[in-house]
Order: sequence, then structure tokens, then C-alpha cells
Amino acid sequence: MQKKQVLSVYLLSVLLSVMVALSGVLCVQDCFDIPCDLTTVFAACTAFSLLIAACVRIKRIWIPFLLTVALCAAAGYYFREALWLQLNGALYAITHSFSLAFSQLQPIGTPNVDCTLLLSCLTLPLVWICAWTVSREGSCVPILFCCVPILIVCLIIVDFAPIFWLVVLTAALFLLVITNHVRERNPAEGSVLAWWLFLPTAILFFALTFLWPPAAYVREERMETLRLQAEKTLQIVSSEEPITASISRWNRSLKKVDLRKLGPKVMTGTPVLEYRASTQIPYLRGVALGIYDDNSWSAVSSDLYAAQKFAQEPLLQMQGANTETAEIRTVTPLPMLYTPYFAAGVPTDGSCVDDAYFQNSREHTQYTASYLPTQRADASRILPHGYTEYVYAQYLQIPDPLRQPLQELAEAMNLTPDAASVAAAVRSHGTYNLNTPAVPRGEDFVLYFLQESREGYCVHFASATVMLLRTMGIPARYVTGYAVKSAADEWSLVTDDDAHAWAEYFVDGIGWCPLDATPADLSNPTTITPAPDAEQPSEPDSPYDETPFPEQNQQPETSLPEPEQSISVSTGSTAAAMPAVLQICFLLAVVLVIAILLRRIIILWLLRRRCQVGHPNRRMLTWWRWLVRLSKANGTAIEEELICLAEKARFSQHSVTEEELQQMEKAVLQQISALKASAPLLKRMGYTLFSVLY
Amino acid sequence: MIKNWILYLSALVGVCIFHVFYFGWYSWFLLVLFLCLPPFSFLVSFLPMSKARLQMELPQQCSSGDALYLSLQASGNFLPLPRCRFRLTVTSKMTGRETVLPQVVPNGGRWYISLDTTHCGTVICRVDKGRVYDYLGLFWLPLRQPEVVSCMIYPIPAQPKPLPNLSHFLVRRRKPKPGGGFSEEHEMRDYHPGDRLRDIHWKLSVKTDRTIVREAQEPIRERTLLTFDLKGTPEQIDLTLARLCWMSDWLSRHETPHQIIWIDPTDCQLAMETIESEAQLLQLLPRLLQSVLRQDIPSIAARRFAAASWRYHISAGQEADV
Repeated sequence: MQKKQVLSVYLLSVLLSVMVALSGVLCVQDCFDIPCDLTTVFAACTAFSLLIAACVRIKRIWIPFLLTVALCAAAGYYFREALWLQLNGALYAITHSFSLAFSQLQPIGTPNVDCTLLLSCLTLPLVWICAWTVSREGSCVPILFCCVPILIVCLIIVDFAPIFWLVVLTAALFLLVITNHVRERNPAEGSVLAWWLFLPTAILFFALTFLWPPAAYVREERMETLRLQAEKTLQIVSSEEPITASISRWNRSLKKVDLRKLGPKVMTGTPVLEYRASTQIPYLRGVALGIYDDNSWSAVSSDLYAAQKFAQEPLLQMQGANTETAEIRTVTPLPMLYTPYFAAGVPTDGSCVDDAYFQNSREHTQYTASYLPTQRADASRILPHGYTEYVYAQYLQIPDPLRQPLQELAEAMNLTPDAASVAAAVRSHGTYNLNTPAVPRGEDFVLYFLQESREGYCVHFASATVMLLRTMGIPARYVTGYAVKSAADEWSLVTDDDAHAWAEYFVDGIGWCPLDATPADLSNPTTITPAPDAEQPSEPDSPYDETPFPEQNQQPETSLPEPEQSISVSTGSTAAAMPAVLQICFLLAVVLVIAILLRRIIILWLLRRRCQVGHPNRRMLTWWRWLVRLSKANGTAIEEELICLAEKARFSQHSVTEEELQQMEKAVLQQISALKASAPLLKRMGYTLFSVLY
Repeated sequence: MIKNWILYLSALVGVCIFHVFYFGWYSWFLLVLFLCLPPFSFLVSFLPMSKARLQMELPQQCSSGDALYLSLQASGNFLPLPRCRFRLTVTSKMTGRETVLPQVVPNGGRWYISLDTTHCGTVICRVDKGRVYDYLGLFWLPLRQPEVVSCMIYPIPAQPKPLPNLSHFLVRRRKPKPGGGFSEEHEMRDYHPGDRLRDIHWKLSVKTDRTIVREAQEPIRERTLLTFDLKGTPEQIDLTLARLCWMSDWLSRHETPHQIIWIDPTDCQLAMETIESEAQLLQLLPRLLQSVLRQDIPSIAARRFAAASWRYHISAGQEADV
């Protein structure tokens, strides 16, 4: 085998091993949220792949195999305690997730254990098998069998499916399957084919995920009917609904807001949802985040919340006889259900994720939320037992380095332990500016805003308010959602520009109350100030007064008089049509690529046919014309002898001989070889695809 | 291919069931992916499938018992060659016996097949039902058939047993040239009345004191026949042709022009070839080796050739001078 082929096989072995092992292990990690350091797992997997891919090239394979087994055994013995602990941790994460879906199951193992070492070790067998499959004459069946348990475990609970890693794993397996026949015959040829098929496979997978995005997936009704029929026929007793976690868990995209990425905000006007509420409401509440650290807002640990085992959901802190309702329709399924303050019940098919937000488990695009305005006489607040202690334990967190500067700032601003005065002080402390640049590296987001820049938008004001409230001993948290205002019983469009962030502070015996410290945008008083685009679609801003229902000075940008109309129709926005346009563009691009390739194939086929069939003189002239084009591309002169041959073919009444034809053909082939060797890649592509020189 | 289709359809059914019972996006994705799999495979395989070529090489001739290999080479374009299958038919033209060898292009695309050279005759190799499959083995295109190749297996000359009496061929017999004249070969004898004066060898006559005449000679051209029957079992044919070759070769080497007579199986007519040298025998052999044997042709053994001064019928058994 040539060096080039060996390198090709080795690199492919490494690449596919990394893809299979990493995606396989991270499927489990992502699905069950097993704590680990992804960078370390990736590094370990890559190192294993590099090493093992080289080992399986050795003829006496049993030597590296035994060495690896011995090393693994030694490492397993040396790290036995850590591995055992991590095994317990992983077991806990998996059983905990299953216990959310199956009430009869109880989690076993040890919670909150970093399982980096265990997951890194788990990549080893996958890497071995994959490297063996690619480098030796192995079938892809073993690797398929190895991945099936992973897929089964990950796919049992529907809403836990780690889509990204599943797709990566499927792509790697797809490549192995489609090259299986060739690889079994010759691994080197199999690797060549796999390299060639990498791009088409990537295009196929990209196209499939683009045309049928996971977020927009809605199960067809007929499939449901089919399932019911099948179950009835086969007399299978199964749950009517998919197995999902009964207690919802954090969506990864909502769990953290990185403030370091925030810079000047651009208004896009992209429609997000439309709503109709039976009373006028100021906010559509999204997610509340409680931990501020390292310039980011993140969620309070779910385990801490789960350990409390509250009798009722803190998110449902209002109760009353006659609730108001809000109907909400979103453009695409969102991970959370936006609801008005104060929710009296869980929205349609939703579930409470800790005390932070309502999860959209079924990916609804249309739902109803019930709420109770605090002004209503029959409304009363309820808080679960022990929740106040929990709030005081979790929502007074201030990073140690910030504690002293914030204390000094609070003193300098003459703050008192009163939420309204804190909000007023923050509002007057800074200037509203949508073009606020990102916080400089090394600076703290809140301190930089309060001490240095003194300008920002809703995120800056909300973050500063929360931290100052905590400094004053008031539990507070950071909330994202949409600032809205429309008349009662009217459909109103909410765009990305309406995204807003504000604070919530906790009042003993009452619960969480919204507090908005963002000043009005004086430059644009009629527009709701938008939030920067963080990891989630909404980080918001609005010039509201504090306390539950502040005065508003903005009007919604658009209202929808016809509630029956769908969002896309009612808005008529070009932004809403963007995905469709993109899809069409993508399809056109694919069609264009296919057309170019087909054109090349047809032209070459016709050309070669004309060179091989027909009167020798005509064939000679076809060769000649081809040669002229190639010579122009190469910038070389044609030999005199060949010119004579062409003239003979054109003007002489005698037929050219087969030898003369072969001479011309040889010259053409030489020119093609020269062109391939000398021309740069882009030119070659041009010659191949557009000029169709060869 | 049927196996591959069964596997694929089984997997597709599995994915369909998975999609029916699984609520997540992944089941839909897998279903679409599986549906896309055959066209994707065909698309990416089309170029190498259409470029797949098969070549066969075979020596034009060899001797019976020699090692004979048919060389096959499959080639394509820059992409690895997909799986190719075809049926190689090896036909012995003389006996009409066909051997069908199913072939799959192995690793490297070049391989050899050993052919049987036990019996002489002509071996013809032909490729049928050539198919080149896509990378998944679900679709196929016809493989362009290579040219038919053939090889003639020559007999190794074998001495007839028992060997006929060939002693009279060892001495060159001559006779006086009719009409006299010049000849390279001549004989001295005493003068007889009627001899021409120019034929007298004066110098020798003076020396010997006798009248010596130089008489021009020419070889006695007898009609020598070799006959044989081109029928029987392959073993008999092998032996017959081997002995024929030996006999003809021996006669040629001893400057005995001879005629080979047999009944041509093609038209059941007597065929005759005059052999004066080894080259002429080599020209005759292809005709014999390419004959299609028939068992219903009559034997030439009992036929009389009155004009023949010496006839030898060659057969696989005991021979005898006639």
C-alpha cells in the first residue's frame, strides 16, 4: 500500500472514530445531562483515536490490543475509586432522568458527580471497534451493534433525545454503511470512497435537517392513527402519549445567558408570536435565571430545587375563582411557554421547570394560559411551604469579588432595602443606549455598567437591579420575556424587537414581583426597546415602571384584527418568509449543482462518442478541436505534426489511419494530464465543471 | 442483490415501525434518510458504474499440460470500483463442453483464472451477464462485455506405439530422370547403347579405361499418406493428434512429403493437406484444433487408397501399416 493510501486510511480512521465515539458518548451525556468536562472528553477521544488508529495498522494486532487491555486494566485499578464514583454518578443521572418519566423508578447512585473520566474511558471501545472497522477488512456490523444500545437508551424518553449528536452519529454510521462493500474488499479503496462521499453525505444530512428542522417537526396525524390501529391489531397496551419526563428539566439553550457576547443591538422585526389576552397585560414572562457568575446568568441547580420537594409549583403562585385567559400562537415551536403574570395554571400541555419557566414539552405553537391579575378581589397568593427559605438560600447569591464593590456602590447611591427605590436609583444611574458595546475583557458586566459606562439597555439595567437588590438583602432574579401592550381581547403581534429583560424580587408572603428599572428610550419613544440577542431569542427591554403593572408608554407595533389568520399571513412580513426563501434558495442551489454535473457528464459523453464513432476524419477533427481548447487552457503550442494531421483530416480525400488517430488522442491525453498537474484547484474546477475540458 | 434488497427493505420496515411508534423527530429523520439511501447510493455510484470496464487476456496458444491463466482486469475511474459480477463461460470448441464460472471482482481489480489444458483443442472465454452494482448493491447497470478471447492448446507430439516400420524412409531412393538433362543428383554407370554422347563422363572414362556415363537422378516420389479419425473421446483425440504430429514431423524431417487425410467433421467430407515441412503442419493444426467434433462421422480407417505407396492410419489404439 502506498504511503498516500496509508495516510488516507489512517486519517479516515481517526476522523470516523472520533465522530462515532464522541457522538455516541455525548449522546448519552447530553441526553441524561451527565456532568462532565466536554473538552477533556473530546481531547481524550481524539488522543485515543490517533493512537488506536495507528495501532490497528500494525500487522500483529494482538500486541497493541493486549497492551491496551493491560493499560486499561492498570488504569482501571489505579482509578478504581474515581471510576466507581463516576459510575454511580452516571447511573444516578440516567436513573434520575428515567425516574422523571417513569414514576415507579427511583434514582440510584450518587448525584452531582463529574463523570469526565468515565465518559472518556467509554470512548475507548468505540474507538477501537471503529478504527478496526475502517483500517482492517471489517464489516460495519459490529459498530452498528455497539451503537444500537446507545440509541435505544437515549431515545426512550422522547424529549431527551440529543438531536445534534444523534445526527452526527447517524452520519458517521451512514458513511460506514455505504462504503461497507468497498471497504470489505479493500480498506484503502474504502477510505478513498469515504473521503469522496464525505461532502455528499454532509450535503444530504444538511439538506434533511434543513428541510425538516427538528424544531418545526410535528408528528403526522396519520402516523398516530396508524399507531393506534397497530396497537389495536397487535393488542399492545401502551401509553397513549410519548414517554416524556413528567418533571420537565432545563432546556440547554435557556439555561444560560452569556453577557460577554452582548453588544450593540440590531432591530430585526422578526415576528415571534401573537397573543390575545382578556385583560391588558404588560409582560409575557419567559425564563428566570438566578445565578450570576463570570459575566453570565444561569439557572439555579435543578437538583437543589428537586431536593426541596415542594407540595405545589411556585410558578403557580396565584389562585382565584375566575381566571383570565391569554391565547398565544408562536411562529415556530419554542422551548418555553410565554405567559402573563401571574399564572393560575400550567398552560396547555406545559410543565413547570423548577420555579423558572413553563416548558413547552409538546412543542405546541398554540396554547392558552390562565392568569389572575393582582387587582382582582378574588385573587390570592399562595406559596408552597419552605419556598421562602429556598428563595433566600438561592436568590441572594453574589459572587465574592463583587460583594464589596456592590456594597460600596449601594452606599454611594444611598440605596435603602426597598425595591422601588433601588429600581429608581438604577434607572437614573444610567442612560439607555441600544448601541452599547460589549463589556471589555476582564471587566465585570454589572460593575462596568454601574461604575464605568453607565449606559446600556434592558439587560444591563435588569442585571444591575438584581445585583443591587441582592446587595440590599432582597432576593431577586433576572427574567426574560416580552414587553407587550395591547387592548384586551385583541390579537397583537410580538416581534423580536419586543424582547425584554427585567428583574423579579421576592416579597415574603407574596412571592415574586416584576421590577423594571430600564429607562425609556427617549430617542424612540414609540418603540419598545429590544433586547440583545443572547443564546435565546429574547432578552428584552422596555421602559416600564416598577411594581407589578407599571405605566407603559409604548404601543405594540402591529395588531391583528383577525385572530383566525395565521401569523405568517397576518404579518405579511418578509422576515417570516425567510425560511421558505432560504429553503427555495437551497433547493435551487442543489438543482444547479446537479444540473452542472449532469451537463458535464452529457458533454463529455457526447464528445467521447464523437471521438470514437464515425468517419476517421471527423473523429480526427473532433480530437483536434478538443486539443485546441486544451492547448489554449494550458497556454502551450500545438506540434506541427498534429496540425498537419488535422489539415489532412480536413482537406484530404484520404481517410486518416488509426495510428494517426491514436497519435492525436495521445496528444489530447497528455494535455489533460498537464492541465491537471499544473492548474490551480479553482481553475481546474472551472475547466472541469464549466468549460468541460475533461 | 436480492440479499441486499431484503436487508434494506427489512431495515426500512424497521424504521417505519420505529416512526409509527416513536414520537420524536429522529424517527422521521431516519425514515427520510432510509428513503433517500437508494437514490443517494445510485447517484454517487453512477459515475464509477458507467466507467467500469473489464478486460481479458489469454495467450493465443499453449501446449497441452502447460499452465494456462486467463487474466482479468476490472477498471473504473478515480472512484473505487463498485462491486462487479459476471459469468465467465469457458468453452472447449472441440468438444463443446462449457464451464460456467461466476466471478466477483476481487480486491485490486486484477485476478487470474487457471484454465484446464489437459486436452488439446481451442478454449474460448466469454463474459456473460456482467453487472456492475452501486455501492449499496441495490441497483445494477450492465457491464460492458470484453472481447471474447481464445487459446489453442497444441498436442505434444508422441511417438506411435508400436512404431511403424519407417526404415525405407531413412534411405533416399532415386530413379533416373526421365529425358536426362542436368540434376544435382546423378549416378555413374557403364555406357549402354543408346546413351547420349554428352552424358559420357570423359575424364572418368579415361582414368578407368571404361566408358562411364553420368546419369541424372531424381528422387522417387511416392505417395505417403497419414490418415486419422477426428472423433472419439477427448483422450483419444489427444493421443491421435499427438501421434499425428510426431509422424508428420518425423516425415518432414526426413524429407518425405506426405499427405494427411481425414474426414472433416464440419462437412463430413474428406479433407487433405499436403505437408512438406513443419511450418505446413503448424498451419494445419489450428484447423484441426478448431474443429467441432461429431461422433457420427464414418471412420477413414477401412477406406482404401490405392494410389498410396505407403499409408499409415493413426489412431489412439494400435496402428498398423496398410
